[in-house]
Amino acid sequence: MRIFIRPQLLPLLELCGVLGALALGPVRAVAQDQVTITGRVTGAVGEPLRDANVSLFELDLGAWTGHDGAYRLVVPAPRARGQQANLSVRIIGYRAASAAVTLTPGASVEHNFQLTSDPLRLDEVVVTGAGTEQLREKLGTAMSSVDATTLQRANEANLVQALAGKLPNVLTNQASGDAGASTAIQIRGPKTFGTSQPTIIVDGVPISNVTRAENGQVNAPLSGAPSPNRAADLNLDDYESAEVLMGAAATSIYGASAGSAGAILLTSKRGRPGRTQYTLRSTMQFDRPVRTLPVQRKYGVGSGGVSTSCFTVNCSISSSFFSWGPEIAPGTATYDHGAEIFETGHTVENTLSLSGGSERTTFYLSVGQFNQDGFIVGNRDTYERYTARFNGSHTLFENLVVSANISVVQTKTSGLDRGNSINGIGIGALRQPPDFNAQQYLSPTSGLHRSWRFPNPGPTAFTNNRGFDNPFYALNNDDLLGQTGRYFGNINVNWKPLGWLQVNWTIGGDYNGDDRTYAYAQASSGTTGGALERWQFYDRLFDHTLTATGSHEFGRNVRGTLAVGQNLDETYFRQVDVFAQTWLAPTPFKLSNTTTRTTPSDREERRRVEGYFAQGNVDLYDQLFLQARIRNDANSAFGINHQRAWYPGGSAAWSFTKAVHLPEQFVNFGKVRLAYGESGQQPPLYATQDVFSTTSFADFNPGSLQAPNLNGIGGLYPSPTRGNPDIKPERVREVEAGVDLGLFRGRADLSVTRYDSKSKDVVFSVNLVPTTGYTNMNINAGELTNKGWELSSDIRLLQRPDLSIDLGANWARNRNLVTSLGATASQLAGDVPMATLENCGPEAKVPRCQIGIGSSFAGQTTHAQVGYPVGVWRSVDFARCGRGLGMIGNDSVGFYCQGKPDGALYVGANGFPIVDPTTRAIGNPWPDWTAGISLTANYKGLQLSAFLDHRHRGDVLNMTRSSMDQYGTHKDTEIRGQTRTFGKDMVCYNKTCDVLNGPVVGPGAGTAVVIGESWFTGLGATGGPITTRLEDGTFTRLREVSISYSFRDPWVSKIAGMRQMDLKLSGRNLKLWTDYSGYDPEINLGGAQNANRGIDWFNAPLARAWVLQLTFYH
Amino acid sequence: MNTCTRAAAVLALTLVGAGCSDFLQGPGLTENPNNPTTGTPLQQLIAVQANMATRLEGQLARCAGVYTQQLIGSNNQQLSFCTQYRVTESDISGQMNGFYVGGGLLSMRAIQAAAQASGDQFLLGMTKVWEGLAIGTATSVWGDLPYSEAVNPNIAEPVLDSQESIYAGVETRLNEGITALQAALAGDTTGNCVPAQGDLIYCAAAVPRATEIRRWIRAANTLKARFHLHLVERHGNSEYGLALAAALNGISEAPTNATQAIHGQAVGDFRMFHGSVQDFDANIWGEFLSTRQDLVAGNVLIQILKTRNDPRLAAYFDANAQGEFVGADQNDSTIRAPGCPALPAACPASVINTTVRRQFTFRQPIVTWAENQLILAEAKYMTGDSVGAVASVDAVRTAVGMPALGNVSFTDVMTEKYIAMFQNIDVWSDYKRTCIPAVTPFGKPPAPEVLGRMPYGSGERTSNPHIPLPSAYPTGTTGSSPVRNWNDPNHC
Repeated sequence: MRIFIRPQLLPLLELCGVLGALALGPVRAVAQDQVTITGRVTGAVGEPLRDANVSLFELDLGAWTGHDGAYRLVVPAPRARGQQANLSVRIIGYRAASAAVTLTPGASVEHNFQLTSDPLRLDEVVVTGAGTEQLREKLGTAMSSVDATTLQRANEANLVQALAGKLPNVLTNQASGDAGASTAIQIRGPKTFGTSQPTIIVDGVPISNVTRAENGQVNAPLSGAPSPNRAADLNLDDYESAEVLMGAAATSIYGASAGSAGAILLTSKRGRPGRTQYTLRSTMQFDRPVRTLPVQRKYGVGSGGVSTSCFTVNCSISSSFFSWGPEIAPGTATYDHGAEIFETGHTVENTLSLSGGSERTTFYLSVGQFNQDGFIVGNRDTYERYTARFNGSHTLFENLVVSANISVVQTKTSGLDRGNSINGIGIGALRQPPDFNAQQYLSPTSGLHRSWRFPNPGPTAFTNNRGFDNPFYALNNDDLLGQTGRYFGNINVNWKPLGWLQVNWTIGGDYNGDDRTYAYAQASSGTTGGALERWQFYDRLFDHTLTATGSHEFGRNVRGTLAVGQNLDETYFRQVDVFAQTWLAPTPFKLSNTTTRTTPSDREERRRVEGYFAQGNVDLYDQLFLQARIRNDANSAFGINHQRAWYPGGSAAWSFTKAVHLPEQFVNFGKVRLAYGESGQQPPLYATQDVFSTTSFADFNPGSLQAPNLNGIGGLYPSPTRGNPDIKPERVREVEAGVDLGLFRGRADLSVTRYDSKSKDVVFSVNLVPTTGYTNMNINAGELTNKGWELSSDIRLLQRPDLSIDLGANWARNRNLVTSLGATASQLAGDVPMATLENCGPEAKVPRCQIGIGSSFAGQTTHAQVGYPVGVWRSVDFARCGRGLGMIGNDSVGFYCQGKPDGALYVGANGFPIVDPTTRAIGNPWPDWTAGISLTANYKGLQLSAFLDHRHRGDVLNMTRSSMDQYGTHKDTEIRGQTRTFGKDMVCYNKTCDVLNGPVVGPGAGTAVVIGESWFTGLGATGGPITTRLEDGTFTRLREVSISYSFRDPWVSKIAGMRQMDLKLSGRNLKLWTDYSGYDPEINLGGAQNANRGIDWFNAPLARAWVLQLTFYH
Repeated sequence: MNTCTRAAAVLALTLVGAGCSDFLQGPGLTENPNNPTTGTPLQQLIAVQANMATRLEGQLARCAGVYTQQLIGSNNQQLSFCTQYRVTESDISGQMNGFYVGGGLLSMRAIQAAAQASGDQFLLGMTKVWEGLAIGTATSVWGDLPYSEAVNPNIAEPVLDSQESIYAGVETRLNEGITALQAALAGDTTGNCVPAQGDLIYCAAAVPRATEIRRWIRAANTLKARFHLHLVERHGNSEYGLALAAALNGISEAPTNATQAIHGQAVGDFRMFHGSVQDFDANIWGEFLSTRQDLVAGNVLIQILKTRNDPRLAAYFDANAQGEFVGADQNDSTIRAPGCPALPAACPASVINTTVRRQFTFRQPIVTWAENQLILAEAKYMTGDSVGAVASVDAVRTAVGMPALGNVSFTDVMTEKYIAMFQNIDVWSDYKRTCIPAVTPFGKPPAPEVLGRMPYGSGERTSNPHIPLPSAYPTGTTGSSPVRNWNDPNHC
């Protein structure tokens, strides 16, 4: 074969053609001897198929069908030499078809295709990672796909949130409904003790999806302003599909660089030869909270029914007084503090895209604008995003194509503290007594911040302690801003030097600067005269992948391909921050306007990966597809003795219906598949070294700090975290098997997958004995398993040219289990028994039965515990039967429990339960199973779709309610003074009813007791076991509904020459069915961190949204 | 270009970058770019002093003050941990760890090794004294502790040493420190001390080097005396003799005015320098009280000071809004304490003096001339020298502006010390062994006794199998651990 070499200037001219294409519109090849191929592509019942790709593969020529299914393909004269060529057509959802055509110069050829349905999308070419791609039929692993239509169905702004519920075992959790809040995603369960979120790869290059909390850490903390996960920077309009690699069996080609948590491969839209297409999309969205929390409006501030008066200037209500005062006098105004901080939020989004090109040069250009003002009163909860993307591709030579994709994003997030912050609006609002008029947040006399604990500020009370911020003061005065500028994209060169060899080189980058200015106004609580937190984060990523793929046919029935490649990857993070206190003047919020500034801190992290990989495929008799792959990675984060690691994988897929004849009316396609793969997860950076620390010494929590500097002299001390030079990557080994069936002549499909993964060498920080001088060290000692099932099915209930109804369903379950946490020195020496599944039990008395892995917060501590899922909560409970309890204090629990049912609540002589001081595993945030059902109906231009999402079980810690109970502000507390009987009529919610109103024993069983302040400020809320706040998080939600109509009537084209106009009305979270008593069981303060799931602590609610959208196609 | 050439070109391209040997290793990659990997002895000494400020002025000192009812924890943790004796293993874990990990014993030993290697006797001496103070304080709080096997890189699970042997070890450390300091004194001591050399206790401006070293030696002797007193319940009067002998060489520079005397600010008093920045270099008491209003005056100390008409009443505390000095009750900080005006006037308890002792730069007294005088008084009294005891007590009384006494009882001596040791962690130890002043423990009868020890930190208990499980403690003890240590066999 010879390379077609052009005169040297030609490439330059061709490059100019790219610009020409943009400036002047599509370039058309015009020649008298060209061949024009036209035709129409229709489906099984004659329905026109839009956006089908018709191509002459050998000539690298292609065209797309229009809305009527028609296509037109022109072969330029020099390339039409009377030869035969293979004309093929592909479209997602239909089997591919091809036909031979003769390219006689000057001729016009007409060829129509009628395609058969392919719900399994077997003929779709999918990217499979590291520059490789494959026909879906040949895949040996489950791969879930979401197309652009599904991604955009309900106009989620955030890519990750747009995947919610749509794929089996892809679990998402939106932190809150705040504008710009993050959504965490997890595939097939937690693979590690830290964060296990999939890597997102756009056009072959990984991009950052980090959620940077205000302290720069990647795990959302339990307080602070909402921060988006960075995948929210993507304009979903720019992407045509998302492929999800579910686990290690599919991701081993990425080694440890993509992690063990799966991968989401996004393909951005490309231009197509032909007329330039313009699309303008305008969206309006209106948000309301899904719920507000019920508050009591009968009792004022005080204690024991006695009021705590505070009428004098600068008086304070002590922190020991809550809303346990007397009944509010009739006629006194009261306020719904649960609802008054919300309003209707609104969003405006506009996207304009242009695409087109010639046979050699294509382009796609889009600009987008997204402005959201969330549902919190005022305009301090906003998220703005401006995006621009350009994708260009040019065929430089016949065998060399260069392309470049670049995205530019700018965002601005303005939020308010949520969670555990006395400046937060959640805590601020929901703890207020009902007769406090929070909306009057400034004193009418002094004009200064008044809160319920400090209601009458005098004229000089700028810095007096307010207890908690008045939420309206925070809403109107604090300014917590995050601004980012981001560039990501890649350059790709695809060269086919030989007929059997293809070389692909991709170099890409992702640069994001994140600038935060969190300003707390002058009279904010918790600071002296206000505070400013300045954070600057820089995330940079560089990636190079070079792949060479050779293919060969060994006779008629054996085909093989071999891809070898190299990957170099660097991620870099830097953070600089400085805190300042006490505003000189109330504004501006600048460092120079503060009196005290702490020493700035500065941190950076750099990681490099050097990987080599190979992947071989053998196709036998077009029905048995074998694949083997291997990757070798060196990673700078690994210990020096373990810097290289191997990641093997392989799969087999057999399209058995090609060999075994089954009645086609029942099973028209069948494939079984089996895959194995190993992937890795890199350990924390710099875990190998002993270092010195400059961190402040902590006195106590809550307490004071002492920098290791005194009298102006700097100090250093050995970090309590010991370095581990032997640290190595975590390992995940996964086996998966499945079957894909096409049923009833393509009217239905069914995929079933079973997987079994085992994570080994999971890194966790093991506690060292502090008297050795060190408190912890990162070690590779954890083991856990994830086993599960995934089912998905699509049924085409009705298929007619102008009417179709599709029903889709998915169901999945994952069982996660921690199986080992290694052994202590004593256990290794045989002095202490090893921790096993048998001897650990809920109490975990044997060493290394459990380790704390998450935050310890308001009664919950999150753990990895042998025999339990990652993230299990350990805490104390009320004394209950079935736990082998004897005496607790003076209570003979064992005696009373004889012959009584397990779980029966022991009620002491005073009629109240007692606390069993033993800590045990007591709650688990993971659902038993999840399911989704979607319905799509098309009638002519009208489309209706709805999506139901169900999550079954999974505990949620409703600490918000518990805290409101303690403060006497929750509606529950209106029962104060009433008598109730445990086991009979206590106030309870779903799972708490099993405890408080289940069977009871003990000397006080059946005794009616007065429920009031002492119960709610003691055992019954935050002062007692977490049992009273541990609720079942089962929910079913109508996650998405949309109805749209495509106008293609002549009047449409009269409007500026448009070819189509779509009008869509959609809604999200319109209905939520749950017994959960808080806002929503899906919210999670802990964000993406495995260990901090299921925590409801003054989060903002999720949003219910209505969306109106107009799309113009030109 | 033929096929082979092209294939070779592809192969060459595929291997691009493979030759970069430093791609994966080096600064910022395998070497931590954020933290130093070495620390000089001087830098570590600074950290030791900052860390010890946090231990000696932090939660342990707050609880010591509340257990002896100089103060009352009125809210939150100070209420539950201290006032109500509900401190748990996890609550106190960080405090216990702090005596051992970086900035604690680990750093002290590293500095000592470096000082020994370089022959820096002054540095060696100072660090030995710090170790004596740290471990002596720790064993008074927790009793038996890992010590002989602690911070040994070859021992993963150090055994517990008996409290008795730890006190013996502390005595040895202090003697080693004194020996090293004397050796330093015998060397070149010309000129003034240099603050940049790390002594944040005695190196104020223009202090001659020899004076600085002598002050360290005297403080070490006072500490020896302090810890001998910790053993009197077990070892009897012999410890008074040892304490007396040590205290005679103890801190001897009397305050030059009443303010110095009242606040433990004499030039020879062992105090740390503090800066003025919250959560950075300010004194921990000041930092805590500026953000948490959870500690108020205790009625026991208020009443003693009022009865004596002691000038320290107004020096230690602020009057409340009504101009009254009011102390809180241990059972209910919200009840109207004695001294309150008639209802309906509000009457909150007094708080620690904001103008002096809560100032961020206030140098909190740790070991003082007054303590040394009152150790002398107690030891003299108990060894039969009541005249000498009166002189020592009166030295303290007159220094603060109180009239001298003609004779003193043991209660007078200990009451004097109780007042002088305000906000000092060792006031708790004095109470445990003498039961002076009488305090009513928190709770209704049968009330638990005043807590005599802290539970072991959860970090240590869950990782070190040598720490006894609560179930292994002798019967009759309450809570998750015994309420008293070995050196405190008799409850009050």
